[in-house]
Amino acid sequence: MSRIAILSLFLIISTAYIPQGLWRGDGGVINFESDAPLELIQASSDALRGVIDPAENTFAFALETKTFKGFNSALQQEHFHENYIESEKYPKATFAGKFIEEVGALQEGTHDVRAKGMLTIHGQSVERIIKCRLEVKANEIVVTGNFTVPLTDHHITIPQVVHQKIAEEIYVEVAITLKPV
Amino acid sequence: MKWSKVILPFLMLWWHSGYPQQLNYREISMPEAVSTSTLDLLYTDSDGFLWLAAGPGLYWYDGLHFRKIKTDTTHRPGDGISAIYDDSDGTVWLGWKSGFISHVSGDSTTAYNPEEGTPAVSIIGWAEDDRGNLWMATDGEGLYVKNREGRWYNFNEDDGLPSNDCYDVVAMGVNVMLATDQGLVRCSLEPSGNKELTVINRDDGLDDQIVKKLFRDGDNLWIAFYEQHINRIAKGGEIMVEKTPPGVDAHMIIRSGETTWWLSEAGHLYRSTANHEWQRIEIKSSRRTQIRHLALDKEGHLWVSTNKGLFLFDQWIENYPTAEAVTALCVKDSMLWYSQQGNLYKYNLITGSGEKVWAGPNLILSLHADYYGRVWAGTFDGGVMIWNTAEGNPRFFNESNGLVNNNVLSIDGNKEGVWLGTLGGVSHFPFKGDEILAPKSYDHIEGVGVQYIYAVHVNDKGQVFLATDGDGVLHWDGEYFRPLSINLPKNVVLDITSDPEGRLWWITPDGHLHSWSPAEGGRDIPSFESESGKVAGLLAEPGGDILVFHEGGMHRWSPVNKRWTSYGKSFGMGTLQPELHAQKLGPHHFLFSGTADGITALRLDLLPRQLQPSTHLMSKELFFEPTTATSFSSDENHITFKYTGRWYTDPEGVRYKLKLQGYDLDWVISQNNSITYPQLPPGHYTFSVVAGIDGYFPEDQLRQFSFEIRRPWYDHWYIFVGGILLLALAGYLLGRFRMREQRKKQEQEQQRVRAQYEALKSQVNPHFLFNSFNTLMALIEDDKEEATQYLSALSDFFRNILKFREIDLISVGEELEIVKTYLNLQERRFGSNLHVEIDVPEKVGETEIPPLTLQLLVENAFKHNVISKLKPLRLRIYSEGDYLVVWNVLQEKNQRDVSTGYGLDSIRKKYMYHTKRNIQVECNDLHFAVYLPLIPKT
Repeated sequence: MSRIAILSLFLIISTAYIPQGLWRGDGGVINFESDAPLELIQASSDALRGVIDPAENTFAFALETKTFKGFNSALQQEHFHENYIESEKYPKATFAGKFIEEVGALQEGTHDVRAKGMLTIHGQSVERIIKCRLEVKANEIVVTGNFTVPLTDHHITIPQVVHQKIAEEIYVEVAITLKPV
Repeated sequence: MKWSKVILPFLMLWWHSGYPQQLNYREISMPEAVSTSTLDLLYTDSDGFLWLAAGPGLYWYDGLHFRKIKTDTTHRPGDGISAIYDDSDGTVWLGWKSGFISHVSGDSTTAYNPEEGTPAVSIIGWAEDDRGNLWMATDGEGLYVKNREGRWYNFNEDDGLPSNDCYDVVAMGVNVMLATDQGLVRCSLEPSGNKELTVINRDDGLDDQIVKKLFRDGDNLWIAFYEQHINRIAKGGEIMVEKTPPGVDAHMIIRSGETTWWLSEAGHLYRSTANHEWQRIEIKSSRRTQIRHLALDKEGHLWVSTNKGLFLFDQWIENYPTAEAVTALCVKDSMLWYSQQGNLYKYNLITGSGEKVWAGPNLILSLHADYYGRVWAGTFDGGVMIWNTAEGNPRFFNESNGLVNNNVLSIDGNKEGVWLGTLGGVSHFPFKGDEILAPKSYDHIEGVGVQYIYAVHVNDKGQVFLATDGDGVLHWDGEYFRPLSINLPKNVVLDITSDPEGRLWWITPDGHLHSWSPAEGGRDIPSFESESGKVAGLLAEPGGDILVFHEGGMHRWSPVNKRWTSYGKSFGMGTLQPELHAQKLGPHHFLFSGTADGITALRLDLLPRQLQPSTHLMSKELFFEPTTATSFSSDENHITFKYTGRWYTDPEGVRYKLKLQGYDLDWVISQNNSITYPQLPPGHYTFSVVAGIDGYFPEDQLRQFSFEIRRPWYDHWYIFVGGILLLALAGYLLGRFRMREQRKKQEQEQQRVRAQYEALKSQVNPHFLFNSFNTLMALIEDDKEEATQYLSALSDFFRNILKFREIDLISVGEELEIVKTYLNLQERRFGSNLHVEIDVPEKVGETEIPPLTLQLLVENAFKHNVISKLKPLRLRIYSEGDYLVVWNVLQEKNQRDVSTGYGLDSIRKKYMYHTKRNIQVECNDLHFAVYLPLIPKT
């Protein structure tokens, strides 16, 4: 009840909250890093797509996993797509859900919020709460965040021989700029 | 919804008349630093210790000291603690109003920042389920849960939670129960991460939607609503409506014992017993006292935090003060009858209203409520009065209408009738239905010897027993009163009762308790230390324990544990009057006792069952730094133990019995809750401590910690043996070395001696002497002066030989002097046939040389060469590089003086002792030269 009161107060005194309607972005950057004892593997993609609906407090991000480039060798990249992430079979990685905070009420500025949703990688969905930062400007929202992905969550199994070369938890960084549609 | 709070105080303004009962509570003095105005949260952890939060301040209380836990509010100034919880790992979690999370580590707190972030709203409660998931309820973001791997999940309205605003959370097995204003929610998290959620609301039989507060009691979950009866969900899941009085908007509820509820609402404290109406409890008689939080501890106390401070309630006792001493009482249903002097009162325990029933001249000594609800009052010198509750006036029986004696000390009975014990025998009033028949009297003729009967007792089977003034216990066999057994003493017995198993118990005025059963006969009970005087009465608890009342309070005998427990003044008992046996059991585990200044009601179901302090080994410290090690090195020998006997009932009375096995020979009794052992020698130790009161230390509370102080590295047998072996080896090697040295020295000595011998031998060579003497003789004739000089030179030469023979090294200069003397002597003989050239710089003269070396070489030159005018001997002594060279032309004579070859050899050996460089000999057809290495002066 008190929250609604505060919210309505906001409506009266401030108009600088996020305009309603969808916010969309393409070409977001996503980096990942596997820091195993014997090898550091880095890869990135700039094909992250995302959408936020401030009215519904929802969000959805998606990525074609075959866009991941980098790696330490071409063979490694091939292994990544064929053996582990299986880009042919599971072409998309997605994260969709609702923000815990009410993003529709956010004013211009930088806000730390928590996105709660289903993270789907390798066809396996896991519920996650991911902390991210929203930089709200007049006509764009920059979303940045980082999180770890335990491979077991998504049924990605690593052969015993490469255990020392691939980390059990992959560190992921994302950054994407959304603009009103 | 919260608007209800405005109406509530008006709804709850029922107030009762009559005697206000007083609950036994005491105020805990707080350290000055704690501002009582912010004192709020109370929490008892799984060890039974109390935690307090006052705004951002956190304290831990052991009964004597408040330990301040340093908290940090830099994350958000003005933040306050809103929930405390200790999980099964012993971690104490703190939830904050801002959503901040921290946990206690030692004397401070550590911020907890999971990858998932922390809530942005107030944390209102914690719970840990049987799977080890830790749940956290918030006011605005629903429910969070952390699984064993440390990942957080969230349950909110998107997951089907009826509301994100949580009021309370309680764990029940693998589930948690969540209170919201849209119903009760059962939630669980499977190890796979699967979330389960079931809403229970009015459709499922709950009395209301708005669930305010939960209380878990074993398998039962108690649910408090706004303005409704409390509901209960039993183990099977069925919902039951309790008959607790409605009209509550609980901030806190606590269920205690079988029948008691505590509740705080809008700053007030209420209690309900046996489903009777909520009664407001005043603290400090001030209506401005605001109740903040309640907590029950493991000893049975209720803790109450208020804006005026912290209070501790002994919830098992309440006192009803009256103007005069209460001499007798009895309870029938909810009505308590009691007497003061000749006055009789009744008091309604539910409504709290009382009235005077009778005012008479005769002291009322005994009261009894019979099977049919009539109340019998036995008086001193006035016989007995009987009230039928339906009628206003009593019936009288005294010596004039059939009573055996007018002084009635004791009354007991059952459905069949009532028996009266008097100072002149026994009267029996048989019943026919509910009609009282004419009394029958028994005195010495029927076996009542002494006739002073202090107590009559009718047991469950209708058997009648008497406690007599000198004939022990008598038993009615239908015709006569007979002793229980001829083996029992004929003593004075003050009171008699029987336990639920039918065993008979009686007590003497000096406090000796006896028990007897037909099957087992008599049994002596060790007498308790009655420091407080005469016995007042005896009762058997429904649970089987025997309660002895005396002037100093109560003692409880447990036939199971075979142990006395004292409930003395610290339990809040009033002063009891001896011999009146004014104690009666009431409904709902109440026990009423008349005292010198009123009535004490004991709540037997709430009486503390933990009767001794519980002992806790708080920390082990090495040089005053906490440690978890069990093995220490030899210099880590300064060990401190901190322990606490938790006993909020009487913290000052706690003593510790302790011993360090391996160090102390005997147990030590101490009042301190820490002990330091400095400079412990190496060894294995076990520290044992147990807290106790009144000199009794319960063995089951013994806490032990075993540790080892290792011996220093050198203090082991193998090091010892190895050391000896090493020493022996060193000794052996040293011996060998010295032997070799000695041999070397000996050899050297030998060399020297032989060299000297050779030198002397050559000097005393007869040719030399002969030649010298010839020369001398010639000179004496020619020139006396020169002869004297020659003789002097000769003697100098021999003196020098003697002087230097025992010295290892002399300077080249000194050696040259000797040689010059010698050459001087020889020049006399050989004149111009001798060409000697000595060219040694002063620097070289300072280097050293084995004595007589040059002498020997020069002498050799003379010895082995032809010296003539045609072939003069040319001799040169000069230095060349690092060498001193003795050079001569080689013109060998036909050998008369056979060379031993020893001279050169001995020089070589001598040099070997002093330098690594060897002497070198250069010999060809023309000349002979010996190169002597220069030995620098040491």
